[in-house]
Amino acid sequence: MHIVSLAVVGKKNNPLYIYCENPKKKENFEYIIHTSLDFFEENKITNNEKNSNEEKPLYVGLLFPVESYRVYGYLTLTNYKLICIIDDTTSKNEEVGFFMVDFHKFLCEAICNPFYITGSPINSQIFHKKIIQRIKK
Amino acid sequence: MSKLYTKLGESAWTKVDKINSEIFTLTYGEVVNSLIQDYETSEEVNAQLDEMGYSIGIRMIDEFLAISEVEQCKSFRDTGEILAKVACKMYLGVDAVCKYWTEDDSAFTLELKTNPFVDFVELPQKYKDLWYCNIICGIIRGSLDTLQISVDVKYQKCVLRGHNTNEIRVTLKSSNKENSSKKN
Repeated sequence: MHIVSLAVVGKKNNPLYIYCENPKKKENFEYIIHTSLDFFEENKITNNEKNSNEEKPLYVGLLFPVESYRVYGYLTLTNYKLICIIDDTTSKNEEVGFFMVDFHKFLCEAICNPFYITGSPINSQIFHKKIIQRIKK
Repeated sequence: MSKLYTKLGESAWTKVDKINSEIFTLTYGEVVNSLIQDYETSEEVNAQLDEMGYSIGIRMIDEFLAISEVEQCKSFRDTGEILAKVACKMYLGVDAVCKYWTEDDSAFTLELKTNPFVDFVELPQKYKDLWYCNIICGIIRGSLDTLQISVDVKYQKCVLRGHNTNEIRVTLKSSNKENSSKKN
């Protein structure tokens, strides 16, 4: 599973954290992340139309494919959007799902820092290190 | 003797009520945040935390002595051992160690490898002079003060500042030797 970019987007669709494996392509990925936000909205609307007794999963799954990448999304109940851009076609939905759960856990730990102001960009070095370590697994 | 203290520490730990560590850590984090907003410099916040700890310590000592059932200390060395093996275990659930004793047993360093106060915390650059857990220093000072042992307690190393462990230096200023204090 080759992750090329990760992002955390806040409730007001403001970017809180962006990771790009290749810093030169950062703008390109930022654009992709921006377009993926629409898919979260679409997903919300289709979910609202469904029977509301059904459990809505946090892991949205594959949002859309673009160029040679696939974009996966995860929406927390507090409206944080976790976006993952993957470069290969061999990765399974579930594998990305497991990664997203860990990503969510790291996000929660970063938010628990009393010096972190919610809604502001996440500059935590520890958060960044955990993500890098997890990606390498 | 230290095996006895370890046992006492573990039995005291089982006797006390416990709460979820996250609620404790988050509450303490907000206390520190609130102090930072009220006082401008890290030094003032450190001093405030120490004062708060002192207030806690003077009350905590009685409860400690009642629950832990430790006996009278014969020397400051015993005091240090009890502080590390019984008190830290009972209140923080942490196994602490006393080391770097001076020759005349008048000062030691309390080392805590883990510290429940600092879970999730990352100190930003502008507060790099802050001793986040300074409240512990105040608690130690307050409890020992109530036992007529006057000490100077200072944080030396903290994991939040990049050190690999937490160390607190406790130095004896004076003690009422005739009373030969019961220890905390």
